Amino acid sequence: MKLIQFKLVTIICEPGLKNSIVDLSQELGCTGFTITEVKGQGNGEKSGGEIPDEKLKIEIVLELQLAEKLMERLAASYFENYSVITYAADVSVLRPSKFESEKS
Amino acid sequence: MTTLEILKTNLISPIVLAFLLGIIARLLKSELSLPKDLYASLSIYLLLALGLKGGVELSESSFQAIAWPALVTIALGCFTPISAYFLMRKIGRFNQIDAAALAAHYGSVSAVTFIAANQFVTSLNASAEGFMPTLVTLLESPGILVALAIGAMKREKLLGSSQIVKSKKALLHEIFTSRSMVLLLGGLLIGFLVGKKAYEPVKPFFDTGFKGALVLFLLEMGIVAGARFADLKKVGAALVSLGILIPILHGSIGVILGTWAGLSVGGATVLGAMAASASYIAAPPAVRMTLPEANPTYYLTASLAITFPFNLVAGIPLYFKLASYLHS
Repeated sequence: MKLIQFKLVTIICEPGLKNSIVDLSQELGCTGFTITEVKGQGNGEKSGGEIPDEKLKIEIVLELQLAEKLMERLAASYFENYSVITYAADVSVLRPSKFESEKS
Repeated sequence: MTTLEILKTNLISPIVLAFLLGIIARLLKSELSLPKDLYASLSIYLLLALGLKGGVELSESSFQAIAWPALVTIALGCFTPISAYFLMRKIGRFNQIDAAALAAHYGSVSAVTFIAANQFVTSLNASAEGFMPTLVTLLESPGILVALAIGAMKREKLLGSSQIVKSKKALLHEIFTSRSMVLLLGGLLIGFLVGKKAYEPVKPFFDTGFKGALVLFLLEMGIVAGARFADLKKVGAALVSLGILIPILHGSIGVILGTWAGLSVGGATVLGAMAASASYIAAPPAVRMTLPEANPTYYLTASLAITFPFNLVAGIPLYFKLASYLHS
């Protein structure tokens, strides 16, 4: 069994951005995504505290180059005015063909 | 009936008291809140029931009866966002983008305020015309569109032709396919097509439970509004006063135009409440996507924590009083 290195990009954002971000990732060539509803609070927010705001967590497994491109685009379009954070981590997968961009 | 008696009838009603209970529960930091899915289900039920009933009634109304009220409603839909924009700019001293965002909320309709007004006039034996839900669908979209157009123009001037987060097409799609639009318009169409006789078998489900469901819904609205109360201090006295002045102004214009268009006391009251209300379901996501620089604390607090409670407690009886006066 051979594991191949990929990047896992995680985006945590306000729910309204779901379609825009999914569309962007598809447009760049990502092959899939997973979305979970999560709750939490970031440094820019001042919610009452006891009921943390609802957020979405979007996870995408992709190649390094594409990960950088996706995160750059997210930063340019949404960092200034929306609540959104994104980070990348190393992951190992089987079947690399499932995650390789169709556009490269 | 004296003003005091009217206010009392309104206050001592299950929906207003349930709303107050929600606010109190939130202020006491109770862990009570309705499950998200139940809240969503209740709103689907209420909107569809409203549409169906309105559609059935529409199939029995004449075109002449509805033509003038419909025209007046569209005129209101174009006027209210513009007047709200100027009041927010001149009196509230908000910047152009925040003013446009607020105007989108005041231009659109709050379905719950509409339902509450309907219940109120019915409880006073002055039921509104059956075709009123049709008017809600007419008032919902133009308000948001006019205000967002103002906002988009100002934004382009201020920021240059900066990046647009969402295309116009995507935005129009979002406004016209929003949950409330699909359910109301769809319900109206179904009700209109099936007519009174075919509606009879499903009527018990949609009729009998309606008021009870509304009480539950208002409880959660109280909790949501209560959570915003802490922001009242942040938004300042100007927005708090405008959040009360604008509904009184728009509500009075609505009542006057409604009466002029031939609506009954109940109908004119409900039209006034519609014009006075600020949307909090359809407008916020549309504004968030088109005017991202606008501060959500302003528009959410104004519509949820100021204007909605005001209309529910004092606004609706006030519009009723004005409508009765104009009719006498």
